Amino acid sequence: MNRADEILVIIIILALVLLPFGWVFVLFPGHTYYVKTGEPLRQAAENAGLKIVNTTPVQWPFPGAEGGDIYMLQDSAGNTLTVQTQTFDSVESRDAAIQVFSSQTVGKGRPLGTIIVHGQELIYIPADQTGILTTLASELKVMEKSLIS
Amino acid sequence: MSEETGTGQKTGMSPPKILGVFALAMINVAAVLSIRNYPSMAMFGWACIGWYIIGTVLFLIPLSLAAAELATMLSDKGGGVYAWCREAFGDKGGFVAIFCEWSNNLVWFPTVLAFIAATLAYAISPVLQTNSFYLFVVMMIAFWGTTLIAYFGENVSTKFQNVGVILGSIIPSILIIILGVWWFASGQQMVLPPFTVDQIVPTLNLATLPFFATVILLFAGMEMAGFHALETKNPKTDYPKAIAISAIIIFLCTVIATLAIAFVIPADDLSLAAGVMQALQYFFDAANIPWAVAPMAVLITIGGVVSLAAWLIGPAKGLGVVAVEGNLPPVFNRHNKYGSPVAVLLIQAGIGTFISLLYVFLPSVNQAYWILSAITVELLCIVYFTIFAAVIKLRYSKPDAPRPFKIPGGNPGIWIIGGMGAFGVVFSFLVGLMPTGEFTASETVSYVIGILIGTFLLAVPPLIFLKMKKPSWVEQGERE
Repeated sequence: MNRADEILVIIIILALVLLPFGWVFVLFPGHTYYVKTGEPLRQAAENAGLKIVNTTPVQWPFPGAEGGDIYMLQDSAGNTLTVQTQTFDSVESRDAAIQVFSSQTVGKGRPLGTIIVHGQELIYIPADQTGILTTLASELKVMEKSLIS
Repeated sequence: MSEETGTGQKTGMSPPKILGVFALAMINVAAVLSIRNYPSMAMFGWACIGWYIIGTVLFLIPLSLAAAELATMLSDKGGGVYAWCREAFGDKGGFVAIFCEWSNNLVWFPTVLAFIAATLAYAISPVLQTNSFYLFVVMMIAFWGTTLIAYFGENVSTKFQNVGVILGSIIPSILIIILGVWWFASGQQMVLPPFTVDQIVPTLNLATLPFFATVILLFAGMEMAGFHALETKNPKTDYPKAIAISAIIIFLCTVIATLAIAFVIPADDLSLAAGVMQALQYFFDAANIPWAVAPMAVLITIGGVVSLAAWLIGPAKGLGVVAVEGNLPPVFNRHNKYGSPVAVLLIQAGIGTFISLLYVFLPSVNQAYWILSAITVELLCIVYFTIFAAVIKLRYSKPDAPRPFKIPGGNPGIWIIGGMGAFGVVFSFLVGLMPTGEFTASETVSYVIGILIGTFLLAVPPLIFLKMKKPSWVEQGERE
């Protein structure tokens, strides 16, 4: 195998390995940062027919975090899910928080729980065992689309 | 690279036999035991026991037994997973398995590197977590530093791992357990409700199915010691002991330390979005030793680096054996005087650096990274399915081959153990395709297609290389 063949092989390897990354990044681009108005989570929960049992303030000990709330949500079947929100002062601090979350994988898998990005706010939903996440997330998506458009 | 050893593998020189039971066990512990799992699993409360039992029965025990049988049966062959699967399914099966084990790391490296950098920031100044430049520099120091350790061969990397795993994984786990016991013994209030058996039963429904894949693969890495077969002093006796010791250490540390955290910290305060270190901060504040957070952060950083080293070195060694056997182009077939596969290590480091760049400087692509993590899971499922299938097939294709350790129960036993493991990973593969609830219907289609295409692309190169293979590839390796 000559040098040209070796270079070709390396290009093939890089293409095959990096293609999935490019493909995924194109399919799912980053989140727009915008200043939120009101309480998106409360609104989404109400739109989805979820009851807010209680809320308490929470401050994540994270650089740039400006505070948020812990919401206890309840669906019509009586299942409850506790969700946390946190507003960030800049796109950098918000993205750093996403990065920290993404690095909290269990074993070699994924993190347990989900982060939903809503402008400057992160909504942290722990491992959902109720199905409330699906209802809530679709409402948040609708709201985000209307805000961005 | 043409000297034929008595091992059936062309390695250029017989590697020194330096690994004993302890070193082999520590390689597995380094690969599997991770402090960052504890707060995540503690959120389930008593049900974490049920999830751990599922992971243990459907994965940890089958994989440990399968690895022990295969490693002792094929102890004279280098390459670990590659040698085991090739023995059962030929070059294609072995090559695809080891390539998936290697390529899934490329997706995983940035996450573990970011964890290392963010945890170290907690010991220095938490505000550094938002500094992309800091993150990238620390990630690269950890990544290339570990690659350098791998460069200097088994002797150096083993010493590093032995010390590192004790400091960074076992001691922090024991400290957490001791604090939990102290909390319990000192009569302080438990966060968890009083124990009842029904509380350990995990909730299994559509919403929790995606956790299944995560929990099953929580113990991924028990095969790691198998990559070091040629450096092991008495593989036929040392492997089963090492695997048993490592499985016990991993299981006990994981379950007890998780419960210790669950006893002390309310689930609402285990906001993983704010990081494992914040959870531990709460833990140490509650125990009135807040000063312990910074040293703990340093220890956990070491644990992260050791885990990185285990996954960086093992599969690279396996791929190095593939190259030596002429199944990879000669550009991969370069080993140094320490026996390290330098070409594989450098290519791995180059690709890992590029993906880490994307990870750090395109951080808001939350969903994109979620999909890449899912691809990691799918690739691992391919690896482990091949291992379980191999241990079953070899009982039939090579029934008389000496097996110093044999899964008990004859052929029914191998079907039960291998079958449970195979069931666990096939099920994990399928539920790994299920998106979590934040994906819309249209995104779900892209999600599934993205995962399948990504998994295919990261698994298919071996088939291309085997098509391109030339006889001259065997002879063209270089030794520095």
